Amino acid sequence: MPESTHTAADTAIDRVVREHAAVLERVAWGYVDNASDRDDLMQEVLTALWRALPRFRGESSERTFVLRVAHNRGITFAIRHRRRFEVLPDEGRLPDPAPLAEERVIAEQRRDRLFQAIRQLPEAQRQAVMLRLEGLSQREIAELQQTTETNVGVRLSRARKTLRTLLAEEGA
Amino acid sequence: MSERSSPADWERWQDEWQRSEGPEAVARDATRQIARGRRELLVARLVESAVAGAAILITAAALRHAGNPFEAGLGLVVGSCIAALWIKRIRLREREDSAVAAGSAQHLEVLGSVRRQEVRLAQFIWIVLPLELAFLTPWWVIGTRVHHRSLTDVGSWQTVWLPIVGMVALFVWSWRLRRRARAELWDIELLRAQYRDPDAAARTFKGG
Repeated sequence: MPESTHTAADTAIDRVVREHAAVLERVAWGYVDNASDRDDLMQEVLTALWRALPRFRGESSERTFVLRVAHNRGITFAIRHRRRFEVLPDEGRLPDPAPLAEERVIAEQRRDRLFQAIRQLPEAQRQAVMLRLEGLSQREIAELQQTTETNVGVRLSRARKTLRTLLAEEGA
Repeated sequence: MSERSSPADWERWQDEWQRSEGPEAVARDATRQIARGRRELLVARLVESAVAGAAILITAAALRHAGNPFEAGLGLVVGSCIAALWIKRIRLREREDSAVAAGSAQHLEVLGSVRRQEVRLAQFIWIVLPLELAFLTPWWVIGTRVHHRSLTDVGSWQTVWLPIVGMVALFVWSWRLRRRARAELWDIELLRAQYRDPDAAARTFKGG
């Protein structure tokens, strides 16, 4: 790759990361459950973005593009490290999370439980849910997953039921 | 079926989901992480290129001393195979990289195809290694005799032991590549089934 493209890619990635840092962070936590893996995955996602950005021609929104790259890297990471998040416990509820330090607020606890619950979902449902929570429409999710809107609807519906069960202790 | 009819759950979860902590830290660390990722990529490519280059050079050195047309032909085949392996490895990685921005189903399809080809690549290495051994052995035996070398001479280290260590390392690497690719193929096929058919999800979930 010529040096000029490197520079353009460097500038572009700086801006993209600044604008989508929160999205990347959330997607990463959808595929890993500890800080060390999160760092490794973030490095892979960022490197992949840096390499893929010069090929981005605006066929979709930049946000969708970033989400696509991040999710694909997340899937590859999960496969490579053979991530098998705990299968649902028999009673269908999540165990209590580890005791939190005093300074952590309840909102964080709820958010951690949501992440934990999302990580229990089958891959295609998990991805659909994360994209839905990022604000993508069913049509956009269907495009990204290369399936029909009906299938996305089925996935989201089943995922919602599972999430409600998992988060039941909070009265969801 | 539409999920637009149940907005309350989604809105509540969306609020919790988007309550991000520390996106500034992500942006701050990004430059360092990208630099580290690029360094690791560069080192991996340099190592692969060095191994392939050294293998081709040793084969070329032995080819100059080929005793008959059969040996020369074998040397040419081995050298060409090593070059082909190297090129194939680069192409597979490029193919996987280029699919990173594709839709999920296509990405998984490419991933599956690349893993299948990696299994074949490892098997091809297992064919090339004995050929290389068959080609180099006469060179080692005759070279040691002609140059009156012992097995601990510097010349022996450069022409005999180093290639043997390289071949053993390549065998171990190919064995691990094949094992990893086969294991990942299993997961990829399960995921592909999930993405094709929403009903496949539950089966995979319970099984996984």
